[in-house]
Amino acid sequence: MEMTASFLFWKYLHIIMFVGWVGCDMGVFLSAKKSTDSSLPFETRMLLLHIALRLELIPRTMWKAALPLGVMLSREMGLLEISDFWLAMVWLFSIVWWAISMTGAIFYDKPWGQKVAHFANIIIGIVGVGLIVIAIMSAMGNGPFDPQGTWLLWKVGLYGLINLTCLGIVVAFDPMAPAFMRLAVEGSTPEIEGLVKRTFNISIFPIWTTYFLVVVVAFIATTKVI
Amino acid sequence: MQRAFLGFAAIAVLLCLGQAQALTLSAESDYVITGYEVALVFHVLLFVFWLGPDVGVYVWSTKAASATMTPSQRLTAGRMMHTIEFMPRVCVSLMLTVGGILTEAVGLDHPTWQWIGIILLGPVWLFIVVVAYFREGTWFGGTMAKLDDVLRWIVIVGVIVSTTYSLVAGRLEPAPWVAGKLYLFAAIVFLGLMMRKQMEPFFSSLRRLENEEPNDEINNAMIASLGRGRLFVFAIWAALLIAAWLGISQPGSPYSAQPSSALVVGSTAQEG
Repeated sequence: MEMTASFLFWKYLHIIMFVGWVGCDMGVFLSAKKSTDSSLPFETRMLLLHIALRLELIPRTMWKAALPLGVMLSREMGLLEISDFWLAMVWLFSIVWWAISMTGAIFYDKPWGQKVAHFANIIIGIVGVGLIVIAIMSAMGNGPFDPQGTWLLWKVGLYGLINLTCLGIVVAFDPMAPAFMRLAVEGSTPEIEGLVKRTFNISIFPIWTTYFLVVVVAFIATTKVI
Repeated sequence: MQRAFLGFAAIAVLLCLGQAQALTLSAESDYVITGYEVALVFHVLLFVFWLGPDVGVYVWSTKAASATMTPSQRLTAGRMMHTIEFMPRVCVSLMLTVGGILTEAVGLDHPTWQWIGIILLGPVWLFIVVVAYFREGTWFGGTMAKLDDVLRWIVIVGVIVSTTYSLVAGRLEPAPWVAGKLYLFAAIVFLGLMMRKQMEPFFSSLRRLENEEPNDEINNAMIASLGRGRLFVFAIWAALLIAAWLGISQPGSPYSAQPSSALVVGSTAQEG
């Protein structure tokens, strides 16, 4: 295989995806963190949370894009045998997955939006577990990926795990919206502020685990050390 | 500082060990970590945390300038811009050092004096950026902020002069695309300085909101300033994206258009 123009193109998009995922997520994290500051007026905290959730649409998109972009790169490198039909299916699935996820995130304040978000969470779980299984099966010589490309198998498996940690963020952060609704109605009380702080502190664990894993995946892809 | 120096020294040692590895594109695991690869990961991370958070700064700047927001929201938006922007500033300060280390691995030799400059620039610039940020509002912080501006002008001139000299002397023949990346870096630093200048009325008007009610004069000044500053922001993003493409495609390099040795070995093994 040569370093074809298409390989370089997909590699470029892969890195831009990384920028939009982890890089943009820093803005999300810092904005969400600031929203827990009880010294700020409520409308300011609400704006901070709202912007955090709007900014999060970019990492959310890039995280979904990682799947088809990774498949394209793997195919270009000759480490994944996949027909054009199945390639089209991967793209179709990714776009549908992204659309469901975005709908749930954009309309998070509506009951039907929350149902869509719940459905999106189920898909995330299935994708996460599915990719881990695919990585293990491939390592055993029974999967679609070349078992010689062990670094790629680690990447696929870890990407599956990242989906699960992202799901962890969504679940851990879930009480934040109701807590803010209570803030709007009841005003700032030690109980609600405690709930807001606790929710954010619990979310930090899956958030930093996700960042760590994404950086580990980037490291493995660059060094191919395993 | 000592840890940072040891880190850079470790990377330099690894570079010597792994220079040959740098010129191959492996599709299969090689079970080796080279200095080039470590520096490359750092390089990519610097790019990620430079461009990515900048989007957050951009979004918050819109809110800070919006007359529909309350003064508290606008002031907080301004603070968020300042907080998030710290990351891109850190990344800018380290980029040239990490990039310089990488260029050695793609076949560009540096004389000792240049090596010293490359290795020292990152930690020194980082120190200035960090102190200017965390000591803002003090005499020391203000001095460091001014020093940061001065250093940026030195970097612009230094990069343009040294890149042009290297091009003319034929030193960049093994990797001519590096010249493009360096010119783009100088352009980005210049655009950043121009952006700061254009954004001065924005920040001075924002500070007025701490003591004054919003009025048309403040709002108009902020919107106009932001509009001018954004042209530079977009230009910086475009330059960064082009620089990233140059780094990936490496046009003009003798090895960029050829099959990678590792990949050829892989294909041969499969055929065999």
